[in-house]
Amino acid sequence: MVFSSLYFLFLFLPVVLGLYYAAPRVLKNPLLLIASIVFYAWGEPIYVILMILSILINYVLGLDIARHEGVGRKVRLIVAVALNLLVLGFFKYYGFVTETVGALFGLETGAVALPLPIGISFYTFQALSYIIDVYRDKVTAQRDLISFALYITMFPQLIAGPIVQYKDIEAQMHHRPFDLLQVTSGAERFILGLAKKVLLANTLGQLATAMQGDAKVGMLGAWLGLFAYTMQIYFDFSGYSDMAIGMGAMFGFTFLENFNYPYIADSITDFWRRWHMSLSGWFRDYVYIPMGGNRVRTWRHILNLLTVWALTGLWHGASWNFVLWGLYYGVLLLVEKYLLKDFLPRLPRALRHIYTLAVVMVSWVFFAFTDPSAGLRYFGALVGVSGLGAEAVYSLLNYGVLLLIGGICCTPLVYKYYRRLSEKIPYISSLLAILALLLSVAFLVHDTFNPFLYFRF
Amino acid sequence: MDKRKLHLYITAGALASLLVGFCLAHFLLPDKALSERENRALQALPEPTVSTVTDGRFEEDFADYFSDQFPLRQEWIYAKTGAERLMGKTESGGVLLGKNGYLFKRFTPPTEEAFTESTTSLAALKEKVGDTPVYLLISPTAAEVYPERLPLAAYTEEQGIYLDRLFREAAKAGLRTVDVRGAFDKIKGESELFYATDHHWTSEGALTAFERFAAAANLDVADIEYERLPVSDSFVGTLAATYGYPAAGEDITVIRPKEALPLSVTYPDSGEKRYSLFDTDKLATHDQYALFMGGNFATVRVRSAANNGERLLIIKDSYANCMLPMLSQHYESITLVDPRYYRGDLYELIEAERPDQILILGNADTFAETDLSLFK
Repeated sequence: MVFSSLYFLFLFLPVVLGLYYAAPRVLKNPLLLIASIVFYAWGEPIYVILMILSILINYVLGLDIARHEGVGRKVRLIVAVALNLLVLGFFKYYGFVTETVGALFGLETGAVALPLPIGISFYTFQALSYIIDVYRDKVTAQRDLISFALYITMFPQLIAGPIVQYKDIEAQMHHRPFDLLQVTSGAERFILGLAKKVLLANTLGQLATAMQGDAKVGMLGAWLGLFAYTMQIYFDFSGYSDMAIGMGAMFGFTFLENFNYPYIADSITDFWRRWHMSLSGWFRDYVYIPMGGNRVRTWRHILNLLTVWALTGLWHGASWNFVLWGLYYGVLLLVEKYLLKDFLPRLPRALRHIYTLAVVMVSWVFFAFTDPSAGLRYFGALVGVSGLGAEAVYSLLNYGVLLLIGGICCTPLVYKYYRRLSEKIPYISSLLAILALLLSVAFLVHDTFNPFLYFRF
Repeated sequence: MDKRKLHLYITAGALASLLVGFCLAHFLLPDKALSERENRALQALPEPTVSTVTDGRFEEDFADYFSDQFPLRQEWIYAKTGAERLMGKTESGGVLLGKNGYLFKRFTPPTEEAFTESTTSLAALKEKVGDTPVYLLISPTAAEVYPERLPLAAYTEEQGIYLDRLFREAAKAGLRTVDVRGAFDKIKGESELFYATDHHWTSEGALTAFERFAAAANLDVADIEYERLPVSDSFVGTLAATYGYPAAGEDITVIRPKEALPLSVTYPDSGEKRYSLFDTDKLATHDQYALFMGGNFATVRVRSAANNGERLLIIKDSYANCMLPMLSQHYESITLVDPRYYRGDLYELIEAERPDQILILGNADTFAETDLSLFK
């Protein structure tokens, strides 16, 4: 299921929320679990079995690890981690691996990649976080299958994160007293996330996609498209995270933040403390620090960092452009740490922000194109190889206001003023929120508008 | 109560009311079967079976069902396009909103392969029919004829380039091209040649184009007088529907010769026979343009009392429908073929109908997308 769809908003959500509030405490978690499985099965009627198997296996292995010490404990950890990674690797990376190996040896593999089960990257990482923290004695192995299953499948964060580490949610599983303030804040958060996704991300996405798909795009169009894509990705992802966090709150859960206005970062290091924080946090806690982090000699530190970033890139997609994207950031982070450490803070603030944004925007070109020739062509268009492309002025007129609004919404200003307004003139601020909600619904309805021109014409 | 709390209660309350309210309304209101504006059947509640649930079809159909039957659907759509207009967006769904509420379809130039395919098909047709003259009349659309009405900076030169190339290649292949752009340019100030909310030309546009064809085909039009009959003022066309624009109705005028010859119209698909080129029942529906000829069919036969032995075959799209009143004066037999629906053998039909002339009549938007493999 998709959050930004009419049947989710107007059927699934009200029904589940209604049942949840009406249910006695002991039934709340089972109810959420069933709803989450229905939610997942709706989009993956077959692969839901894979997810259930993953839950059962990790549940059993988690308890098993906790029961042992020393070598036995370590061996069981390795088995559990390997199993999870094998499943993820098989479903997500089989095609990628065989193609790459084939290309290296000049073979035509004709490998048929399996369709990717939705959310497998997210729930596998959550399962791994649980397993590893059980091993490290940071959490108690969960005896209650329903609670454990709920941790893995909880529908607000199952499909698109944030990646919730088990230790952050362990206590909340059985202790979520009803708090009206939390629930209503969650509702507000949900509305804001929906608006970000539907009003900003989807609309900017139209411009971005049009420019990326136009083989003859000129410089003006390419830049418009790149600004649009930069904002689309942020609003899409952070909007989904907002909806997830908001819905979590409506069920009494507190999830950690995933985004913190990444585009106002003043260095790449800062950027990655604001972007997709749950993913970089996961890689830090479960890969980087176990590998030694930065408490090792320099050459080893460089290796650690580059490994983590290659993996981060690979996590985003089974294609070399994503690995390149990850390594790009890995290298830049090293450069900032070792070469620019004293230089960067001395630059005027404006330059630091421009530097960061430029670097990030370039990275999105790697990210957007899995086909390297198309990516190169787009880079060329950006620097003027395909000419100015003045016809893009029409797109500028059509999307100019939207781009401006989007740009302002990338800063904390909008939320800050809205928040202040809600503390001073609540009738107006709530009206604004309601308007955003209504407009979001209107846009969602229009998405399904599908006039068939030629049947009778 | 502190103000922040008040804000949150109102907001959350509104969300809850909206979700619950529309959820209930959705199921309490009866389902609709057809959307006139979208010109398609609306999804009915699908039945879940083991196979449709496991392969995802039920889920997809249910999602469509829920959206298609969503209460106040059309109003939500108007709200969305209205909001977009406020932000300066002048295009939606491939339709551009120009000055004074005029709507235009965005021209999509065909790919090189598609273009070569079509010109090869045209050449093949000409070869196979030998000496029979083949006329090609592909009309420009409103975007090409009235570019000054387009929204600011809209880029649409491609249609002119396409038509130039098309006529050049067709002429090389031996077709007689009829380019109406010059005639349209001369008259466009005095007459509205296209509908404001629909992708078709008006009867005035059809008449202007007909006169060019008559000149090319040497038809005797010297003494013909036409009458103009307004038949509707509430027409809202396809472009308004596609864009989602709440347009007021516009006029439809029928143009036909004052001394129109009696004729019969046969629809081979249904076996129906009528005695008029106009289906006035259609004026009561949303698709009022179907007044002309009742719409589009694979083949239609028109027999008139012209008694001059002249036979015409028209390979057409819907633009031809309102030109029939002018054409039927000059041909005792006209056969219409729509390549988008016709599944038979074109050359068998040509052999059966023995036309003296063949006219390919359409508009640039449709022709650029039509599959002409029928001709091969």
